[in-house]
Amino acid sequence: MAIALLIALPLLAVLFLALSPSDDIWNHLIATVLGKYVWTTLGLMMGVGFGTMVIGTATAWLVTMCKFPGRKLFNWALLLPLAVPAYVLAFVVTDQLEYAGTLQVVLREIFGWSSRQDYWFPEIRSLPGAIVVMTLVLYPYVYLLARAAFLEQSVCVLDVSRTLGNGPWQSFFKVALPLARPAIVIGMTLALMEALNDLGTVEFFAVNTFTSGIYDVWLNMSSRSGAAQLASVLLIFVLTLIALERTARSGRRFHHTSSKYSTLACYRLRGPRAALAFLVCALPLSFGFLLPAAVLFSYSLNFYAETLAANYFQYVLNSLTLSSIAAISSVLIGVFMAYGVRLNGSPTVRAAARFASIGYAIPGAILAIGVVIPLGIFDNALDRFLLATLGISGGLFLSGTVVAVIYGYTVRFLALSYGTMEASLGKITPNMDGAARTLGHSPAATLRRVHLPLVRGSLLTAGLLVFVDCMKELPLTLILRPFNYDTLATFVFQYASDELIEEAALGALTIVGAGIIPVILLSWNIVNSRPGQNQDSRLKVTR
Amino acid sequence: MSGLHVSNLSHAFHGDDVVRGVSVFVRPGELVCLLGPSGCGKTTLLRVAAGLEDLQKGEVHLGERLVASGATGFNLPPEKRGIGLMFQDYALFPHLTVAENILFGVKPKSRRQAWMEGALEQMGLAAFAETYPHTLSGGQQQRVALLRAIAPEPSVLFLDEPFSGLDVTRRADIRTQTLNLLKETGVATLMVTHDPEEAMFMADRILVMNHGRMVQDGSPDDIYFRPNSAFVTDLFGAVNRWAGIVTGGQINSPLGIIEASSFNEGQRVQVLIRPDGIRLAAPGTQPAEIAGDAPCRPAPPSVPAGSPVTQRQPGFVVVRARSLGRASQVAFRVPNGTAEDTVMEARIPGRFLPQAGSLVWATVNAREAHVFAID
Amino acid sequence: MTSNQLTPSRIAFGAIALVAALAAGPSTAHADGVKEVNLYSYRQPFLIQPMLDEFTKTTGIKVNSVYAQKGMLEKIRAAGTNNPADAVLTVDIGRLNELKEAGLLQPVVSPTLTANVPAHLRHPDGLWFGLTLRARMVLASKKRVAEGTIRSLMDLADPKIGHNICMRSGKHVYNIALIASVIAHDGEAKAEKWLRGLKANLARKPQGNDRAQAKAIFEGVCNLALANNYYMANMATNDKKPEQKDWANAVRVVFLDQDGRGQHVNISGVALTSTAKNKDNAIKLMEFLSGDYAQRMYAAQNHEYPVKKGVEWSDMVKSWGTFKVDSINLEEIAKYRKAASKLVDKVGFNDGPSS
Repeated sequence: MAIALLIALPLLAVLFLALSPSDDIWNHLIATVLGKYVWTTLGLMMGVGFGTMVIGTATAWLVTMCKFPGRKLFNWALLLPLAVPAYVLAFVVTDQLEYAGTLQVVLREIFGWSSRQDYWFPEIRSLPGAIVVMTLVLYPYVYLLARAAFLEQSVCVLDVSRTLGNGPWQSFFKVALPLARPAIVIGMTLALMEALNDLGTVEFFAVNTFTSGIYDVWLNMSSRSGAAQLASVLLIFVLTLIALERTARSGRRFHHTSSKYSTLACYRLRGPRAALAFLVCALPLSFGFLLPAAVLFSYSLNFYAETLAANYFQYVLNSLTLSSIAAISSVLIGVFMAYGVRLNGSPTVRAAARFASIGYAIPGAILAIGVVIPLGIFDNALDRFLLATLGISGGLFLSGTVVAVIYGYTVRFLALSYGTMEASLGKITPNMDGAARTLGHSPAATLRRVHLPLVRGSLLTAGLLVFVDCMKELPLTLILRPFNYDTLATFVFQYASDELIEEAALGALTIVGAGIIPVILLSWNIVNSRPGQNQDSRLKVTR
Repeated sequence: MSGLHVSNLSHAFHGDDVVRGVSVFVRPGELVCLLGPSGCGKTTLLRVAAGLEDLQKGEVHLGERLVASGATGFNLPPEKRGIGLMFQDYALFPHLTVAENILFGVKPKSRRQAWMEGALEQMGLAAFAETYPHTLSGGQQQRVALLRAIAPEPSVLFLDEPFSGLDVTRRADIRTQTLNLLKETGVATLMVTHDPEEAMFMADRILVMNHGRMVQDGSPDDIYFRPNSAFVTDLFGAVNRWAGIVTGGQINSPLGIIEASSFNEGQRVQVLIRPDGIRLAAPGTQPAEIAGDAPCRPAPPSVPAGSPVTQRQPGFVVVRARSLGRASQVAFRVPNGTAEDTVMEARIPGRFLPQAGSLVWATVNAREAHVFAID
Repeated sequence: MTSNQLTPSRIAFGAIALVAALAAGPSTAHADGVKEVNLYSYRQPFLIQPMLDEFTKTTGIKVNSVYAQKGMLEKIRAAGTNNPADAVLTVDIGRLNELKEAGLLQPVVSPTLTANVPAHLRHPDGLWFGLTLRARMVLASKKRVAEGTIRSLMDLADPKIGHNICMRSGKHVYNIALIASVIAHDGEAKAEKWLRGLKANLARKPQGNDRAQAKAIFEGVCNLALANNYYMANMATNDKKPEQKDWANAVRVVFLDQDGRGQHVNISGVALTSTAKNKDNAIKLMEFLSGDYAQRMYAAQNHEYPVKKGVEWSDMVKSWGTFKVDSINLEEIAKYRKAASKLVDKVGFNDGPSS
């Protein structure tokens, strides 16, 4: 409860800001652009939601249930786009597809067109463009969770479906998909929250979403409270969506359907079907990862000197340190909160925990303001206290140090770790708790000796997700970091903010590269976490 | 003195009363079964007694020690109660070996190492000490779970449907093994089950629960032969029912005269007769008597109204007869004064398979004919 | 949760805080005796770092800087009296004015600054000082736009032009300041009419940065664009990306309103925070930035117009010639930012020409 409150503080600060009056912002917005913001945002959410769902689920199903060339590689490689910051991909895609980009140049040469007026080409900087780019970097959330869900499904259930006369396709739609629904929905929720709070990409594509509206009200109309009000509306919207989904899901049980597992029977694909499967997996991987990585690499060749001249290695170190600490702290807090909810599942505690983990949906810079306010109050109080008692100044103990950044990351990414831990703990039967308790173990000891070992895989998953996201994180870092402290992301941003990504290509490439290792760990972790596929003697399968 | 004493316990979930004022007393070395259909509150009672749910009303004592009190809101956490609990799904820790599971609650582990080795040996599990639970069969897991629960030498042991996950063929063996082990350790045991046969076999005393209330508390023999309600009688499987009116302190049924002296004259009652309580024989012969039988006096011949008095009813028409191996199940028609006869089922030890349509004689064992008022 | 469950989390928290504090150690040390100044900068570090290094070299004062975009004002305010930032460096008048309005600045009395920065480019009480001028001018296609076609901002709204103008987002601070200047001069009603005309003449939805607009002219998407002078100059002299030279070569620079109120300009500037701890050092830095060395670097490296008289412009900028500057008070412009932003919403500027 206390932790939930601590984490919820910045959110409460934002809500508090929203309570102060904001003159005529709302009238103005309603009369002019609010409708457009809402529709564009809904369009973006539908597009990204649908795109990530289809790509994430289809690829997850293919690599878990089918055998085709390249499957082993795709198994982990499909996660790679997660490490690519959306704004980087946006830049690369635009660069390649616009008039002077490779594609159009080639087209012009082939068809002999000479100018823009000679042919039609879709507008890249548009809502569809933003949807495609976001889908490409966000589908791994769905893929990750859907794949884990498919792996956990008992084959018995699928076998039953087959014996009841359903073909592989029908089995997928009637059994596997509904069973994996909670996982897919969680993945989509994460993807959508990320899409909602994005500014860089939508700005780049000249798409005006609700979030761009929040920034506009804040920065151009100098209305902090108005921005906070808009952000609160966004928050309520997200909470409503989540609540709706939970209501729709309630009454159904999605527990492990059988405790018996056997090696997953694969559909072996051949010929055109194998080619199709290969293509389905290869496309998102190519556009979401290979293309940006290759383009960044070629930029780096020209501009590596600029990057190395700056404190490149210090930035790398800073990024790695910050992300690691934030990953550990988010996971720890996520575990304690999820376990606290498990121990004391009263609706209030549950709601508090859920509220605390909603920071993911708030635009980063707004959340940063929410972080700055309570930390500032705390620091000043501490400072006065120290001055009064010891005669020394505490200065900005928290908000002037990287503690603020880590706190901010934790608040922001708690949804990732808390959600993962909640789902993972939910799979452990409460009788395990009972068994450990009656065997003389306190709740803390039970957590240590029973739950933590059992959710080890999910702990790693949550930690790595947070790590990868922190490596990319920008708005919070920009506002909260102390003096003379840069990360790879802020370093890249000082160029990217002016669409000068070539100059920072090596930095961007490093962000992407640093994401690969955790992604590979992640995927190795999922395959090994499947019940019945554990190490040594546990390999034996019970029937 | 140790043992478990639950007094006047009530519990509700979301406003629904699940347990209503139940008291349970288990002496050291005694095995008490809570028997009842699913949803009757027996598992809740066990979880509250074990401390896994906070007590709402009533008191729980372990020996002389008060561990939970509804009046003060005091709840000793389960880990401080010194109890053992075995779950229906065993809840073995999948990340620990069999040996690690068993010694999970023991400090220091070395204290019970020797005991564990002996127990594993005795249970035929010695070879599995270092393997992981999911490689074991259901029966093996059950025994590991039991050993884990008793390893810390609890003063009270709770068993929640301990045999329900097992194949029928293995059950008997494992029950015997379990019973032996429990008797050896002399622990006070409260076991929850919905299987009356299991309760009969295991229990020193059976507490029957229904709708959150205690219905009957007695020895297995009491519960079976002296059930205090139709509900308890019914627990042991389908029974034959006969409705009648008390006349002269007895009920005349086609199968004999049944004692009902404790009922008012003219009261409508139901007679419940278990299939095992009916004896059949070919017409003209006397049904074989079994030790303890107390056959009812034959009923006076039924005389159809208006017809001349003829001879005694020759017997009942057999509907079908099936062999169950150890016994035979025979269904026969009993006229009840309406157009449709009552079909009764009788279970006869050994092989007794009269042709459908043939006649049989029938008598009832008075001990197995139970009379209850119709409310 | 009961206390025994919180214990491990408290330990974890403590550990995290400790590690973090250690990691942050070097940057938070308020070591007495070390001369330093703390700077929040809206300017990209790669542009100002060389100047700051030079400052440290000549004065021995260490500059701790952090590149900021959004939220700096909130951060300064939340930190209250403990605010670590001594000076703020911005790229437009809007941010300076916001800080001033929020009461987070303090006046600087410095003969050097007063001498270096002309009076109309600084706050009368010294709450802020302009460091460079940036002209938001028109780029016109050399091939497709005859000289003299566009002479003023008003000409851009002339229906004769047709769908031929490319611009970045109407909400960008540079465009907001431009629109605010129109409101300041002509009033809101006239400004709205003008903005609607401009919108009708757009060739596409506002997008990209200023460079992208020159590129669009090069590609034939449009004939006219609005851009800050240094973007144009940087393209024209970009040896590492020769394609940008082609873009620059496709366009001609047009200073606007030379017969009227003069070319709209914005400033990049600097100010001292009201809670500055290293006030003297900060003022030294401000003076340094207005001095010859820094002004020359602004001009030479980023092709901005230095505020200090007598500092030479870059060759590229010089080649465009001199021009008449709109002499309106910059704070007037800042005052109408909000109105400008609302106007952009009202006419649906960012939806582009079609709607």
